Amino acid sequence: MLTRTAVDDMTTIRDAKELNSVILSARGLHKTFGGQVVLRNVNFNLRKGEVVLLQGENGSGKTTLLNILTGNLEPDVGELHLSVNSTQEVFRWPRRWWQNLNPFDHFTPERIAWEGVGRVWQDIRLFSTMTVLDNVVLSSPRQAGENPIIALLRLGRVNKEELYNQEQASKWLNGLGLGDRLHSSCDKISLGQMKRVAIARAVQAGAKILFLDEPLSGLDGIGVAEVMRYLDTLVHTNGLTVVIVEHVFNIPRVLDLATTVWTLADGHLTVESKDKVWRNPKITTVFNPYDWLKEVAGPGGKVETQELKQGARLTSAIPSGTENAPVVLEVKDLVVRRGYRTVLDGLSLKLHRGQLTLLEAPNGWGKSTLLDIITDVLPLQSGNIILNGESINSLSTDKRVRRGLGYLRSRKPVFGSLTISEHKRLPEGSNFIFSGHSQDGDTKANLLSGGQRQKLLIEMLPDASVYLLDEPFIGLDAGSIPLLLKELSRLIAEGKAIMVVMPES
Amino acid sequence: MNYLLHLLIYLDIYLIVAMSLNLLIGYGGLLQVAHAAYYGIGAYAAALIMLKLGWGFLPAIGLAMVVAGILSLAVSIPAWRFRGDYFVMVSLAVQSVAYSLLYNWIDLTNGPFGLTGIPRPSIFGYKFDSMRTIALFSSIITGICILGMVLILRSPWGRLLKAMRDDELAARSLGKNTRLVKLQTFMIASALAAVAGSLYAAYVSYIDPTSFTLDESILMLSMVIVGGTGNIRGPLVGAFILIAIPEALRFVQIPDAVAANVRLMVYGLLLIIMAHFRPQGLAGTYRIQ
Repeated sequence: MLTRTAVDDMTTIRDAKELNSVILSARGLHKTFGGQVVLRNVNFNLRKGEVVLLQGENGSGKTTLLNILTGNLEPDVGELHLSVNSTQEVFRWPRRWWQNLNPFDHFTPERIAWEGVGRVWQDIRLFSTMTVLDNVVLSSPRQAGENPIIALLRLGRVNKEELYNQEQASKWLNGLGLGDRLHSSCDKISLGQMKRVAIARAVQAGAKILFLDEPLSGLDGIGVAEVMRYLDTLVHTNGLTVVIVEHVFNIPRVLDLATTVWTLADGHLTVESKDKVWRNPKITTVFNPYDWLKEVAGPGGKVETQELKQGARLTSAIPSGTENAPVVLEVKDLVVRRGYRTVLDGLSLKLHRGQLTLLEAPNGWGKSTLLDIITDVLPLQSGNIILNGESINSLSTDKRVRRGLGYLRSRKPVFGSLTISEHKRLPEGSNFIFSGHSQDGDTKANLLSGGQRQKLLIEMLPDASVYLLDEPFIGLDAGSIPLLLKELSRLIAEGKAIMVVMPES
Repeated sequence: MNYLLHLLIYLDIYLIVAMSLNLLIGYGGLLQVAHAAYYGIGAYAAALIMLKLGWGFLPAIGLAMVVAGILSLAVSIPAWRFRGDYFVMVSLAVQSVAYSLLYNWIDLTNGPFGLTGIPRPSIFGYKFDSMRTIALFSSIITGICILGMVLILRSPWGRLLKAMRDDELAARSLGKNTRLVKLQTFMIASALAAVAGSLYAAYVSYIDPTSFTLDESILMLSMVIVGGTGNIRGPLVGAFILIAIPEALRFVQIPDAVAANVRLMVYGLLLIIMAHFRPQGLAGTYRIQ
């Protein structure tokens, strides 16, 4: 854990005047995609030390706004004023054609980063072939060793600078509880650790304003606590200004830290007080999967929990009359190894017809790996998988799907060049009556937001006897979650078996 | 003995070439097929400087590196905008244009007749004119290039290059100027190819455009892919294997008329086998996307 005295150069911000100074402001931002207006006349002031929760329905333009504010996208019209450092930078759109000829006057991610704006991506984007330490050291600004001539001819200077940067990075990482993982490859650490490394990397790069896109999504309870504790320290000790986009499940956790709430709706941004959002039960009522399980079990039914190895839990809703329902999917003695590490060691489970099963496990347990193996996305190493009484070990993914497996791989890309209608025609027959798209069927999938893509993935699930859903609620807005719950309950009532996989809360 | 020394000189030349191409492909993730063009530019530049200006070998190498480095802008600037297949097409166009220039700019390059009488390397009055001394000289130059490459790849610049390969947008969001890194990478790789070209020109004393065709670029690419990318070992292994194959084929009784085609077939087969069974190459660590 990062203690408030852990990092030498942290400066405590106490000056109220400084806290109230505007460091980023937007005037009249407007953005359209393919004729569809995403942002309309967006205005705001961001003050130093502020913690903003940016919320909105799926497709409301949160990621578009984040992309603009971090230099990844230019608005059609508007102004941005940045004064993080001593000088003020002003960007105005539309730009004149001759402005684009100047190679030093482009609105790019690197230029915005030089101005002290950092971003933590939803998909994290660590440099996976490097160690944790290298990921953070690399982001140090203005490194002389990044000039190849100096790197060759001034070895002493470069080594000295490198040692200093390593020390700084190690301090951050030690404070984050990652001291023992400094030399681990970034593709070998857990999701929670990856998110902390991503935040440390942005701060080491000199970010004074940090934009975080769903920093808590996919994290288990411990991971969420770790990230929030770290953010709290950065805000209160280091005076970092933070804008967080977060999924509806995690909004209550972010609201504890937030000072301001920005809500995007129909392209308009409104600044709301935190208290007003706290009063909205739709937002602040935390989704409790156990209430849902009880509801599915219904009167006369029961909910049974089975503890699995390494902190995982399997909870089943058994509606009345399905106690002796046939097993539709059975996994026997599954062993999964990654290199020298055994991920799943002799796992066995059964899914019964007409029952809902919830698998909760900590990050790194192998939840997604398990589903990938059941569906042959990853090869089976050891064990047996039986679907409707027949072993499917030798069958390829497409054959398993035809035999009745439906698999939702959340957050996986859809086919960007196909329209929504074309996507829906892809599966041979879909049983899901779940829609929340405001777009028409001719909209191409690459214009959809993360949440809208998730909805499309759900709609594309083929007709199946067993559904394996990996974090199906991820990215969905508050209005869509009840619709999906209702749809899943309907399918269970029809006799389907469903396994929902979620991180341990 | 002379035959082995001849092989050693060729191996040295291709070690430099493969290592420089690996910098682009294995470390920068920039797959290009114009490397023979820069190898040729280096060879022609050094030869012309020595023949027409009467400069010594070392200054000629230095100027050839500068010329190749500047001309690398022809591929590095498009690399700002193009990626993947499109960038390969751009580099293919650069390779074709460079070959056409070498072939048709007769006043400068003597066109298809090539340049003859290129002097052997000499430094401070000492002329490397025996096989033994040229082999020693080329090995020293190769050793310096490998040392320089190891140093630069272990530096923060090398780390930044790998970061750009892994995720360019993430690197840019951390304030890294990846456009500049691309320019630098192409300049270094092209300058190194020019060193190899200069060595080649000084060794064989005669060059013509047919030594710098697309086939030569594909041979260089094969060395990197077969040997492996993403570390120093890979291209060294690749250069060794692809220099050794044609020499081994000499001992098989293949008619001269089809020998060249057989060699190309062997390269093709090797590439298919590598792509299927070991995409990261024999000794590589990075898997080309």
